[in-house]
Amino acid sequence: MEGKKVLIIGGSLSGIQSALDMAEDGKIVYLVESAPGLSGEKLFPVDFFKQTTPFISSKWEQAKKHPNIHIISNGVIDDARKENGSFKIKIKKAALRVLEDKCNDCKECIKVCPVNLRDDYSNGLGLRTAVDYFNQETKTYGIIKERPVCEESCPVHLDIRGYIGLIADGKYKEALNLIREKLPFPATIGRICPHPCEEKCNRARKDSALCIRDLKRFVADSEIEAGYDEVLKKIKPNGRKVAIIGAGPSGLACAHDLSVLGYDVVIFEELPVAGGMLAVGIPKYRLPRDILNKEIDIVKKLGAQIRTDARIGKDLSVDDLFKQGFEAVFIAVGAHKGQKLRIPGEDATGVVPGVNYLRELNLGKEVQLGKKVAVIGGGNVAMDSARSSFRLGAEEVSILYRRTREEMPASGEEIDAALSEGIKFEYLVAPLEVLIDNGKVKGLRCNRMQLGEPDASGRRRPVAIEGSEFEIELDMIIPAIGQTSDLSFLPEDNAVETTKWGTIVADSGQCCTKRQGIFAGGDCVTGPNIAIEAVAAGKKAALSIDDYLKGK
Amino acid sequence: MGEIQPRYIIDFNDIPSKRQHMPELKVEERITNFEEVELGFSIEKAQQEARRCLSCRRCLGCGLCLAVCKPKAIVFEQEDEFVELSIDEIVIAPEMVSSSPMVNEYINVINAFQFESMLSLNGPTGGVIMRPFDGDIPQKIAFIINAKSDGDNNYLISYAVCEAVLALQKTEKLAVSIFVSDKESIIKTYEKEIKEGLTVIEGEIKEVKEKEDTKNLSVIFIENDQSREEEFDMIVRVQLPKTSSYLKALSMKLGLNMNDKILLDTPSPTLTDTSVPNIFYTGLVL
Repeated sequence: MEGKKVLIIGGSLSGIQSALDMAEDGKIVYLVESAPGLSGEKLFPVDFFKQTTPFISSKWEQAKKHPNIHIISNGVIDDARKENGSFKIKIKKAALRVLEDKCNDCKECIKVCPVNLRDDYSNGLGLRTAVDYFNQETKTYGIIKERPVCEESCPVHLDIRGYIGLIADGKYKEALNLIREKLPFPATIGRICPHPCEEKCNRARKDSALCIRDLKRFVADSEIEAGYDEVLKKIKPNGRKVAIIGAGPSGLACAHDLSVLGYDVVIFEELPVAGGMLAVGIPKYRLPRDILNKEIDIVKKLGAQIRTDARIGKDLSVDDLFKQGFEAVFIAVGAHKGQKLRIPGEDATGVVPGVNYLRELNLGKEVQLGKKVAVIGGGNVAMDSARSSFRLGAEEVSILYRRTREEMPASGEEIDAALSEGIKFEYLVAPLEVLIDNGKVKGLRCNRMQLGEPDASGRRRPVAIEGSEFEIELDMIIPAIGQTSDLSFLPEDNAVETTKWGTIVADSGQCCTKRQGIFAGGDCVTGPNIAIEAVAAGKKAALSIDDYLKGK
Repeated sequence: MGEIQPRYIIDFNDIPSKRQHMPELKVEERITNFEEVELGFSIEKAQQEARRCLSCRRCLGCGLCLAVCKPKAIVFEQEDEFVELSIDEIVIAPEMVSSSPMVNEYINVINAFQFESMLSLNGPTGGVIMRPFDGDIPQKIAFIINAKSDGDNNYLISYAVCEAVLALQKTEKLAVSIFVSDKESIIKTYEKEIKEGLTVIEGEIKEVKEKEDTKNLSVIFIENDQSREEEFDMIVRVQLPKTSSYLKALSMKLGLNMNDKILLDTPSPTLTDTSVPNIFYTGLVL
């Protein structure tokens, strides 16, 4: 019988020792190490006092020669999942770009390389070039071509160091063009993006991260209307029709890219305005509407039609779209349905879900207003609802959250802004029952919580403290604990698969659904997420729709 | 006289260091209306901020190496390979990164991981111990151990003693002091290693200060209830490493939570169970 297959992640001394032990037991061992060689340049304190070769362990050679051990260096685990009791592992083995058998060790490449980067192999001590000579033990060279961390962490992989360099040189138009190659809405995203890139910025190791988002906004504001004439000239219409359901960031990004590729795009939008959550979720004090509309106009200028007040599923079904000659459909309806609190009394007058509240407000409708308002939840919708109701004249606004600030999904800047404006934060509080008088909200009964063991998301689970119940007097409650999608318009044949969480099943790389010709992306696939992720999905969808239609 | 710049290790001192802040509407001017709160950078501020970028570079694709490589060993277009495996058991081995920031508090204070690189023949200094500031060979080095528990302490002491002994072997006229919280046990354990040039000080560190002219470090500590001060050419901070973010993210995918876990590279004959069947840790699990 063939031996059990074991994967050892990490070629440290302990990893090598375990590999040897298990290989001796007859198991087939795969040892995956991210560096070019085992254990790099490590000292071995345990062995040190016994022998005199501090940087070389005798175990290396043993592991390399053992017939049951397969060493995969320069390898990282790209994907791992459980399947039928075993693990399916995908390992990415980084290209070295220097052929070991041809290299004669002359180091000329290192001498001419113009790049200096902090030497991660020496733990940040000193600099090295992009051509790297790892160590004596491996005798291999490698050329590191990965993206910088900011670019890597950006969902649309903006060339951040590129445009920041151009801004530093005062070349704003070039900077904006570089951004627009990948992101059609820099002024909008430059205002509202929670900037995952800044979390990764290496500058934070010295003092604080770069204001990447604010620089994007700066350059976008300086040239917002310029720069599309060249693109317009290059568009060659191909006469093929694609329908997009939803004019949010995902739908608009998809429409933008498809239009540039020459497709005839029509976006069907249920609401009276385009922009999706950007228009009806995010308050104007964070994103002025003239800025958003200018960027939406660019999509129109490229040729895409946006039909507002056009809900698919009412007069026109998804299948009708195909009958009307659309060859592909991209579903990007977002997540606009507020999740229920599931506590007694939540149907009382005065309980308004955060998304509904923001939508009505942003559409210019008259909204209910309380004097004493409690917003329940810790995300950006909660911050937006609280700050908006304060602006509308509520006397006291508090945010109730069942965990602590640390676990709040809202961005730190939003939380700080809410605090500075006078919003009260009540942490470790969970609602139990809406108290009602004559059908109207008069208060909320709550529990105090404490943090227990971490749950699947890695955040510590809040647990109710027994006997800690208390009541708050209120006349308005805004639950903002998450959103789901309204998918009732989907074709009834179930050909577009959905999950138990009410999202559409679509391939994250290509946005394909189970039904040919129907693609989906954005919040209706991922659940509520940040705008730039939706833009990324829209762009991926555009590429795969293009591939699909070219192959048809 | 201009500001003294470090010669050997670039500290990015020439780049403006303060993060710029966008002007905002004052709170009282914004809470009664829906006017935009953030007002955008001015050209000056944007330029200042853009110049802070370290431009964390990787290969630029310039092709200079390609041009000079006589044996034509460079293949620019080579792509990453992917290997797919079906696996019965997974062992997670320590992959640790330094828990201190890559840029140090003072130029001549480095961490034990960096000192280790310095000791290595293939390291950035070719195995020569030198001060990052001027490349001078230090004559007095202090190791400061920051341990949270006894278990950590033993591990860190062995690491520090190991590095100190190597440094003494390599460097003439060097004196090394190791600051610990319990002198007795270390002297007993490392009886053989502690000899001329190596001093163990039982002292509680109060402060480390940099001398402006020499960039030497002054350590103020309490020994036998008395405050003392001693000057060193260089300091090595020894503290527990942390689990790399790569391992943390990977463990999440496998249904494990490694957020509070540290795996230390101490080989042991047995594996440690995790909360997921058929996945184990090796090394010392803290």
